[in-house]
This record gives sequence, structure tokens and C-alpha cells, in this order.
Amino acid sequence: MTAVPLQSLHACFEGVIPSIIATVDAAGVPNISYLSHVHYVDEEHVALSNQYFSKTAANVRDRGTAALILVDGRSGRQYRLDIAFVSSSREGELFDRMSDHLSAMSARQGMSDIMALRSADLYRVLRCEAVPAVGVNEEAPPAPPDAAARLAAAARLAGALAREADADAMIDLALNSLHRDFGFPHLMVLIPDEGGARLTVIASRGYETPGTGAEVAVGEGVAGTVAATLRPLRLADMSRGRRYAEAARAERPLPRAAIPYPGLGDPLSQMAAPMIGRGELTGVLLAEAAARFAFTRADEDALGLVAGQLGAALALHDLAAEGATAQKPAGTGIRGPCIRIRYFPFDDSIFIGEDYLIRGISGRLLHHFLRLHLDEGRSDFTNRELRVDPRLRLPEVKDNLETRLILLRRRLEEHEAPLRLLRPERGRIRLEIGGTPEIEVVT
Amino acid sequence: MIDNAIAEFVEGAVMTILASRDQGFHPAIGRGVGTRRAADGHLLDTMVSRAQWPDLIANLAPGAPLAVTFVAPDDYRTFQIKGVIEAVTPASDGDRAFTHAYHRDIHRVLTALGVTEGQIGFWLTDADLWCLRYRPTDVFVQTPGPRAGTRLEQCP
Repeated sequence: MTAVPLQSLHACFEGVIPSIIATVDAAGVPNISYLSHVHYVDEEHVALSNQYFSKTAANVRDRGTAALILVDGRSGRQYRLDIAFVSSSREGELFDRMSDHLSAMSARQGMSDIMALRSADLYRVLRCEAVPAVGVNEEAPPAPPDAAARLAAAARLAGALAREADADAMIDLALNSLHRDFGFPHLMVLIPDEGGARLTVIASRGYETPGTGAEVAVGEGVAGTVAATLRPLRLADMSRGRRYAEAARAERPLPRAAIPYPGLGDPLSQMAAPMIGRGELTGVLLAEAAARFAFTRADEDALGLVAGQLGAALALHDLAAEGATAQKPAGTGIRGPCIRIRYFPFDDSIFIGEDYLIRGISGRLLHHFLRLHLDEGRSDFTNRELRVDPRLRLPEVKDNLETRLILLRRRLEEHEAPLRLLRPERGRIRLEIGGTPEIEVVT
Repeated sequence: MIDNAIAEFVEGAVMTILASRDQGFHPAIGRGVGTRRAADGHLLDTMVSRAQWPDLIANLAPGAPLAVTFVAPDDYRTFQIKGVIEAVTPASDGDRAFTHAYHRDIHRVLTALGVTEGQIGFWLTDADLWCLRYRPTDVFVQTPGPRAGTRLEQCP
């Protein structure tokens, strides 16, 4: 058996096929157990999740060593490792990432508490060899994806995003590049609502319908989990429903929302990264695929880098996009066909005719524009006046106004509504109406 | 002698993993490809490919300790049996036929769960097959959860 570099075993660390651990107690009695997940740490270390395999833990404390079998989920190849215990941690990045993964796997069984991660145990790898394949046609192993090239491409995209002045265009640039250059087949950006209970699709690529305005619950599915934990998550093979069922339930639309969720019905691979700006969640970037093992660890890192840049840029854009001066009444005449608008203040939802359009802050904003349009004949508004208008009840600290406006603009366009939002320049909004709105407030 | 229900479980379409150890107490791992009762139920036979798991078998001679864990792939019911080796012999024709029946059963169960041919093919083998005969001494519940590690019975 020849030594195999640990970093070449990507597909063994996906948690698709359980690993095996053997230890020996002080009296010389061997013990053998399955392990849900072995995490790659670096070229010389792996980490094991310590949940409840107490005999294994006791033996390791006694003797400090163990044997492992890892299985490559793609090819089925097996590898044997001899490992030596280094340390145990109950906090920190490694612990958090392992804990998220475990929660995503165990939630469906109602065993989240029982299976809670006790510690992340770090081991040094003393030996790593391939187990002989017997009577199997050995195909050449698939070329490992070039992690360095992935990260270089992500860094270039992050640079391009930083140079883009317009937040709306920034989102398109990120999705187009991830779709075309990275080959991620299905992508979406979701933004949190003001209460932090929902995520709303603001843009997507690779789906039959874009689904702008569709909603999912925070805490559910991969995107919802990432929004709740603010940490990236990647699931490599969701076909084994038992272990991944909770996450594989795919983000389901909430009952009230009438916009079909664009996501794949049965994704086998999913990953998502939080978009964070000024210390707060500004959105979630999600990629999914129908094939298993569609995304590598390097892909996850690249997605995280792009999501981070996008989150920071959107937050900065919110700061900058104040708009120069208050706007004079535009004095555009109101004419054309009647557009029937219904507004439900209890959740700020807006219907055009019989069709649900949007709810939350985006709905409140549209109602506000229409009201001022009817009352004062105005069509032009600035971010600054919206921020200080008490009727809009925008959060004082972190309003994400820019992303709400982007969502609203895209939703109106996708819905082919007789209303359009234009952004004549940074910090300004223009309402274009192909008729005369008639607003009914439904309480 | 182990409980009849446990014996039926280990004789079924269950994933089987084994551990032995050398004189320096270093563990070695292997996979089993079929288990059955022997000697009127007092002993168990587990089939193992020596070509694939040479270290596991190199540690085993009569009197050597062995740990074998059996898992039902569909519900994760798991038992670990500790035992002491009685004999290690090359597989007979009958042993091979027995292993082939196990191959068919476990293959059917795993493919129904979505496990691919490639994932199964690397260990479901009869190459250089050996029969490990051992006397069970303890049975532990290892189904994931709070009862994991509970001693179920101590065999006389």
C-alpha cells in the first residue's frame, strides 16, 4: 500500500458514506464504530465529531490513537488512516462548522438535542493509504478540481463587484459570473425581511421562472439554516434522505406567498453562504444542482468569498445611496387606464388586480410611492426622504432600503406590472405608471 | 449463546465492520461479507476478504479478541458483538456460496436506498475469502442515540 496525500481525498470528507473508527481499550479489547463525519482540517489533520461514541472517546483518551476507514463517496474507494489525538474543542470555527453540518443531518430525526456535538476532536494523521480494490475495474480517479484557480476566479469576481457602483448591477454581475464562469447551474440571492423570519428571493439564475419575491422560512433548508447561523453550509449528496431529509426538504414557500419558489424540487447538492455587511445579514447566496457532488470545498470557499463581497458592497451602497436633494413634485399628469391596487397593512402586502405582488417593506414602499403620486402628483423620490419619513417605519440602524428597492423593481418587472421603478441616478427612485392607480386599503 | 433475535439480525442484510488489534494494541479494520451462526448457535462465522483486509486477519489467531459491528442500512439499528477467535480458515465452497447469497441481499437493500454500484463494488467481494469463527462474549446496543454503548447481554 502506498501513501496517499490527505488533501487528495476531497470526496471522503463529504459525509456521504459513513466512515469507520476502531480503537483499543486498556485491556486490549478492540472497539469498532461508524462515524457520521470526518472533517478535513489541513494536510496533516482531520477532526472527528464527538457526539455519543463514548467507548471510542474513552479508548482514545487511554491510548491516544485510532484507525479510520474513509470512503470516497464518488468512486467508492476506501482509505485507511492511522491517527493520533491532538486536542478537543467545544468552541471556535471548526466546532461551529461541524455542529451546523450535524444539525442539518440530524434535524429530521428529531434527534438534534441528543445528537448535539459535544466536541470537535482534532487528530494528526500518521499514515494514509488506499485499501486494495479487489475485482473492481479501477478507473482513473476524476481530476480533483483546481482549488487555487477557483479561489483566484472568486477573488477576481470580488474585485469586479467592488468596482461596480450600482447595487442592482452588482447582483447580476455576481450571478452571471457564478453561472457562466464557475458553472454553478442554479443560483439565487435571498434577502431577509425586517423581522428576520423570512428570506425573499431577489434574483436567480438557471430556473424555469425567476421566482423574484418568493419566500422561504429562516431556519429551514440550507438557505434558511445559513441565515440563522451566519455560517456557510454545503451538502454534497442529499439522495440519502434519512440523513439529510430536513435540509433536502428544500426551501418550501411559505403558505401566504403566491409566488412559486424557483428552487429545484429534488436537489442532490446544495451550498449557501451568508452575505454580511456591517456585521449584519444582508442576504444569502445559494447554489444548487441536480447532480450529487456538484460542489467542492473550494467551490464553497469561492461562494463564501463572493457572498461576503456582495454583502459588504450592498451594505456600503445603502450608506452611500442617500440621494442628493429632496425632490420637487414632478407634476406628471395622471391619466390612462385604472390600475386597481389593494394594500393590506397587516403584512404590507400589495395586490395588483387579483395578483399578489409583494409584501413586507417592499410592499410598504410601493404603497407609499403610489399614495404620494396620487396625493401630490409626485413620481420622483430619494432614498434620503424615505429614510426619514415616519410613515414608512424603516428600522433606524439597518434598513436594507437598497435591497428592498431592488426587490421591488425586479418583482414589478418580472410581473409585467403596469408600474415600473426606475433608478435615474444613485439614491433616486422614479415611479413610472401606465395608468391611474386606485388604491383600496383592506383592513 | 447470543439471543435469537440478535442472531437473526446479524444473519440478515446488514453492513458489517470488524476490528482486531496487534501485539502493540494498534487496531486494524475490515469489512465482513456475510455472517451466520455455527456450532448450534454458540459461535458465529463472518466472511472477510484477506486480499482487501490483510492487517485485520494477520492479527487473528485462536484466542485473539475481535469486535464486530452490524448495522441495518435502512434504520441504523446497530449492535456490536465482542468475541474471541476460535478459528481462521480459508473459505470453503459452501462459505463462498453463502457469501454470494449475502452479496445479493445487501446489494438489493443498498441500491434501494440509493447507494450506487460504484460505492458498493469496492468492498462487496469474494476475493481471497476467509472465514472467521468466533465466540461472542458481549453484545452492545450501538444504535445512534442515548442508548449507544449499552451492554445488552453478557454471553456465558
